[in-house]
Amino acid sequence: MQSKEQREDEFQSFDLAHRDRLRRYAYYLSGDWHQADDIVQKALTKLFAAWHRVEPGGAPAYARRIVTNVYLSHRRLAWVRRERATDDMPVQRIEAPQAEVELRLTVAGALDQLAARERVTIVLRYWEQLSVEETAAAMGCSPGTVKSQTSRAMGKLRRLLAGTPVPAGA
Amino acid sequence: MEHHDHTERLLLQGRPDDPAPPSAVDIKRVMSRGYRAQARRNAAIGGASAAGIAAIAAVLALSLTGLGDDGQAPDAAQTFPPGEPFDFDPATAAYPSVHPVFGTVDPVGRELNTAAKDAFGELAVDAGIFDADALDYEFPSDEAALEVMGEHDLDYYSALSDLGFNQEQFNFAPRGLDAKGGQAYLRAYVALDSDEEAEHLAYRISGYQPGGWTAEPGPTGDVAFPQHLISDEAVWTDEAPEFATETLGDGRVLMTADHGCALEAAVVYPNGSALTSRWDLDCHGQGREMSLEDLSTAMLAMPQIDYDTSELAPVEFLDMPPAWPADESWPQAADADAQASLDAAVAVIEGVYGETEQHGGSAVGLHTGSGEVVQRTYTADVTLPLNDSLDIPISMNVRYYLPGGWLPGLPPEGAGTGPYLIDCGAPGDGKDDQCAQSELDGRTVATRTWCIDDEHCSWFIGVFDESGWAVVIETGVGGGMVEGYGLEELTELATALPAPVYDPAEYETD
Repeated sequence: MQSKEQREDEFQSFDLAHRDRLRRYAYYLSGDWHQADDIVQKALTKLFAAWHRVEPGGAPAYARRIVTNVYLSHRRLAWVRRERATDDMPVQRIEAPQAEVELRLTVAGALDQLAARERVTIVLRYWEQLSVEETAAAMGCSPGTVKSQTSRAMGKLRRLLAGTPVPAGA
Repeated sequence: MEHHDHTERLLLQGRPDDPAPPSAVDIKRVMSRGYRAQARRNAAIGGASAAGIAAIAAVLALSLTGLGDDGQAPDAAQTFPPGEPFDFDPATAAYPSVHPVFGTVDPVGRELNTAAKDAFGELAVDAGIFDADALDYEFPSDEAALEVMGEHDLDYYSALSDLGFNQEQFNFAPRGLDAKGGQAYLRAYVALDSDEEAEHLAYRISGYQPGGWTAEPGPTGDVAFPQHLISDEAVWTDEAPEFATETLGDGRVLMTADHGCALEAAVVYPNGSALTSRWDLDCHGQGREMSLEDLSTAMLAMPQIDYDTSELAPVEFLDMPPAWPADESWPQAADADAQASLDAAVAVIEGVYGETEQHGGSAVGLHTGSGEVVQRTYTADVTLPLNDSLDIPISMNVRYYLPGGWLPGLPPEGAGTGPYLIDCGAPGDGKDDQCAQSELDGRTVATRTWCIDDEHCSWFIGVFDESGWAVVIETGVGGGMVEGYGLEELTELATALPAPVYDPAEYETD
């Protein structure tokens, strides 16, 4: 049986090692660092409450799954949906004033048009570079569902991004 | 994915790689809340385990008086008995900020789901809101939910989600609804249109627990207290709706508002609870149709629910200028003032630290509570020409708050953060971050410093001007302290930021 101190030390070590990755994943999903922090804070709270039952090797995948669920719950809230419904690009969405910022804004705008679970699928497959099976585990669904969601989402993205040039060097 | 097509290449190259701003995640708060959640779950699940059969039996017994587990409505005519009287006026009472954890099955969610599916399902299909097969699902059994709860240490609603019950129509979930900017809460079970591809929500159905609302019609949301369930004023269009009220022989009161392109209805029950629903039929050209008569029939087919009101108590609110009704046109109207304000603030920051890189900068209505009201803010992020000990550029967020929807200073001891802008003092948080409040030249200054082992530190500094505006800066460093960049220097900077540009006359309150 772990002592309270051991448990907290172990969890803080996990947090230090994985928080950046989880924040970035939440940011990919939400497109907003403030929302990302909110999502990660809630996810870590749930994870810590269940920490004594989590297999050490499985904690990162379990944490990613919780982040996914918290994001999907957030998307169900009316105020989040209202923000998504606007045609204007939310302020502070992508904050990299770099050469490819225009492409990133275009891609971010296209992702905003996807349903929440489609967006999760695309982010996990293409940005987190997970396999179909890993994506299914993170989403709590079957590999077949991941494939159909990916296909549907890519169909939408092809329409939304048609005519967008690929920058040189891509 | 060796060979990528055009879209895949765009996706791969379009992945954002902007540096992460300082993390606002508070790990000590995470653990503190985690302990509390676990303790509540253990208590509830332990109780459920000890009397597991009894718990399920209780649910089943309740279902015999309300709705069966098969989701069918009872044959017997519904009854609407009055509830136990309160020792206070429930309209001026509310619930605490900490929402209950459902450590065992919650029969209310199931009862609302099955009743709504039966009452509104066909109506929604006929209106063209979703296809009939959207109703072809089974609510997870209590046994399955309890098994998942025990296995993964989840509360009931997380367990339902874990069982895949999260995309269905009429999926009611308990919510706390801000009252007076978060000084207290109303409680309701809310079901939203689950079509994530819909640009506008087709419906919202809310089962209100007694407390914090009035049957008098008026602007809904956290605009007034007690809150109104339904409005008889223009909401969906520029014209006021056709509003009607009918008191039934069984004690229920039915109110309807026909906005032309949208319908709204509310039923107030004799036990002090209520049900509301709103339906966006054609306000955005969706072309859906629903008759007011059919909606009224569906509303009256819903049962009266016996909610848990054990935490409902009278409340005394601090005087606070009200938040602003959400208005999508305000950010654009305020843009010039926001730019002028933020440019002036950045000039002060650059006077201290040198040339910054500014990201964005605009007027933003910050949604509070259920999202129907906002705090009006001007905000910008800047990257300073200064790296922390991890060699990462230091970022800072500057946010001006115009009057309305917030209170100055730190929350009182033992109160929740609620409408306060600096997150200190939530009851039971057990946080060891340092919060302080002082007066400086007639202004209130509130600060919060939070560090992990002096390695990662975040600062939140609010300056509250007596004329009603405030400015809050948030920043942090990693890898250890940076000389000349700490609480003292940042407080000095925050107090030096100029007043925002706005018309005080517009923000005057009686």
